[in-house]
Amino acid sequence: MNENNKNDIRHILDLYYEGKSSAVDEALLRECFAGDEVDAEFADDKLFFDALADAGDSIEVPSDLEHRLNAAVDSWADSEKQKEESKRRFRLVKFIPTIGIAALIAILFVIGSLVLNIGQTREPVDTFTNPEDAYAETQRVLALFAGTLDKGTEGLEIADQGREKALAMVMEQLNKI
Amino acid sequence: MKRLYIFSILFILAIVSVNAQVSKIFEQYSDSKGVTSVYISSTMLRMIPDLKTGDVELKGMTDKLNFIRVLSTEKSDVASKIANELNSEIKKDSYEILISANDGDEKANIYMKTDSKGVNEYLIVARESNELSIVLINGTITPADVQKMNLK
Repeated sequence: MNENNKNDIRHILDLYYEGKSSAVDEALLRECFAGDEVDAEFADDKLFFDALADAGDSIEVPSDLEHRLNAAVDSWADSEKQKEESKRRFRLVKFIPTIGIAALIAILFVIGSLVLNIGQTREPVDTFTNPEDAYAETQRVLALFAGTLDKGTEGLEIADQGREKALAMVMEQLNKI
Repeated sequence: MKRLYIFSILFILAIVSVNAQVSKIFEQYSDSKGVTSVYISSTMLRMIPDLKTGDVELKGMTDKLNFIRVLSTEKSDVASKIANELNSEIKKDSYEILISANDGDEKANIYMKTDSKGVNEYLIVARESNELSIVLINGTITPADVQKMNLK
């Protein structure tokens, strides 16, 4: 390895350790330290790059990785759905008092209607099955009506007569004055 | 919430009380022991034979009647109960007193109300000793019509 090469390697290593190296630089470093013959100056760096290479080689990709990844994604999706569902339930729970009041009003309305229907008078049934009996009762009722009217009217007439008598007596006394 | 319950119950009670009518008393006591109840519908009234009473045909009067209801009892306790209920219902039902007549121990009042269609309803309450008679007459008949009939 000549001095120019060493300088290049040193420069690229500096970039690498600073995290500024490109993929090409990293590939160059790996190739450089892949061989057994490395300058003593770069012995430690070679150890580092050998260790990186070993780690990359020993990683085995599990055969069911894809299945496990899909299962993980599905469970995340389910968890998101459940969160949405609980948010929706929370929104509905807020309306339960309002729904309860509306249901109570509806029940009271139905009860009120039933009570009103119960309160309505049933159509009565005729007492008499023939017109002659109905006639007799109707005549009796109208007679009671007429009799009460007459008694009341008589009372008014008597009161009127009394009033007129009293008025006549008062006028007589006034004329004497 | 408690206030809403109380208000709702009071509202229903108010509806029920407004619905109270004199005719309910007839229904309530029509099947009671010791009480005589009569109902004559307009259909039966129209079938009444064409008979003359005095100078007036009863048939002409019955055409002006929609129905007649009678409730009577000779039991003093029942009479008192009905009379008390009737007094409160008369006030609620907007009846006005037409005439009141006293003859010894017999007292009779006639109440009247008219609906928006011009149909009159007369309530005759006659009380004598332990007897009570209540008559409800509904129709376009007037007191003058009745007095013309000479039904004494």
